[in-house]
Amino acid sequence: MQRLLMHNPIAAASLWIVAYIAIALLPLGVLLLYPAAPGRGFWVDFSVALGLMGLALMVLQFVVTARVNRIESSYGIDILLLFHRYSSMAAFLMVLVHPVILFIANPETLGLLNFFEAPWRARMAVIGLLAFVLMVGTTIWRRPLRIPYEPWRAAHSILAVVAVGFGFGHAVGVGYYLSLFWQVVLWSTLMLVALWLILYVRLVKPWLTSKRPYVVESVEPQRGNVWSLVMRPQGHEGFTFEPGQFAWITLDKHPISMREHPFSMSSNGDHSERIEFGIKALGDFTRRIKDIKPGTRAYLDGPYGVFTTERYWESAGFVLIAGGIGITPFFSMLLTAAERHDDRPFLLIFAANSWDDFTYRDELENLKSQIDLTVIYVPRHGHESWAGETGYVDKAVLDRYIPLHRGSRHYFICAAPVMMEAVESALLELEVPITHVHMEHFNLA
Amino acid sequence: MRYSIMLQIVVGTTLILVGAGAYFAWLQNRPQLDEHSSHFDLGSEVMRRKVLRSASA
Repeated sequence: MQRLLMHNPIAAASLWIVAYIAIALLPLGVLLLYPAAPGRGFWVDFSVALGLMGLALMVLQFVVTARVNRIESSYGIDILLLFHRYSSMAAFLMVLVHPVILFIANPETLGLLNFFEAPWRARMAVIGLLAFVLMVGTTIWRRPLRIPYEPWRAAHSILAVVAVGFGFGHAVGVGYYLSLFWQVVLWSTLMLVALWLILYVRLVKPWLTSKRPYVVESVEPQRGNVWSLVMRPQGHEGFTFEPGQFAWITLDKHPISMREHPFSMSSNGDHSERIEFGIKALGDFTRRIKDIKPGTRAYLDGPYGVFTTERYWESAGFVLIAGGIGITPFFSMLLTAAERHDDRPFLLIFAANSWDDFTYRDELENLKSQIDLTVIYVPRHGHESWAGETGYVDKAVLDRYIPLHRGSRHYFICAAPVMMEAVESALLELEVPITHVHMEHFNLA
Repeated sequence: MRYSIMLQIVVGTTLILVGAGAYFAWLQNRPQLDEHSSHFDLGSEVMRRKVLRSASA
């Protein structure tokens, strides 16, 4: 069984989903251990079931977002965050429908909405639900509302704690089912786990990270409005990583400030003494990278991620498809492969806006002499004397270059979401096995 | 594709949970078996078996 889970990612991913459903159903399962309570009516019990499952799903979100390596390695961080978004919406709908059903089944309960006269258990429900509404609203419309990433992230964590804490308080206050012994045991355990994860992620881990500082050695400009941020560990050995992985960076602030940002490493994964990131000036934080002074204190939480060639040792070679700054993890893969004298063929299909926007272009040309590397540049608009590919990386372009024996390679795509979706569809149309296609969304924020 | 699969998984798990919630509510409110009728049913079954046995003999 353990061997199956270690070597079959689909089995491991399925197991986590089964565990997720089982934990969400646990509150109802425990209730069935007791004789059925005097009938309160189908709709009231259905409403209570939705409320309890919604609360359990909210608690589970703390596990999903706690950067648990074992869970993350089954999916990849971008997919896990997407799961967090979708499943939080499911929890939100359950929690929202829970009172609506009650109001319809027992209209007299509408009086509980009178905040000043309602019992405290109802007030807690209102506060918890309002926190949840605020949390979902500011997440879905963060960009239209122009909420900067860092304050949003801090508010998101606080609102999550308020929503779950007050939701739990409401359930205890109602006390109908939560007065049963095993329900008390179950919910106490769930709340303690959630509390520990909050303390671990927000306090323990930042404290551990603060014991391993880094210093910015240089900030170097690259083609395509990209900056190379070079760091060295201070007073410790740093970390090695699998090329393609990423780390959370905190610059010039204590890690406890929660002002960290995820970026892929672009340096050789075997060199722990010098860790480099390629960062494109796209958002609030990244536009300030060029102003970072050498000597600035930095902290790294990592490495994370499963977007790495390391997991496919048996592959006969790799096809890497990059769009713009999506080249960063691939550059790390190629640098590491060169130093390891990897003799497998690498095909890099690299799209950018113009010839001058191909980040690491000179370095890639140098790498051709060290490993079996073919680079196909696809500028959106080629210059006058350009005779190569132009436009988008579409099915026709891919068909011209990917090997005839599609399943002999593993395919990695790192680009903007639109390009990733288009390239993935094209690869599947070209009969590349779906299990050989790996993607990473490079803008997690 | 991956994102679409993940959306389908979340929709699927949510439907399972909502279905389980409805099943739970039904279990809590299902009509209880009446003691008299259950004894009557048991007696009828014993009688039915006796009749069948005598008929086959």
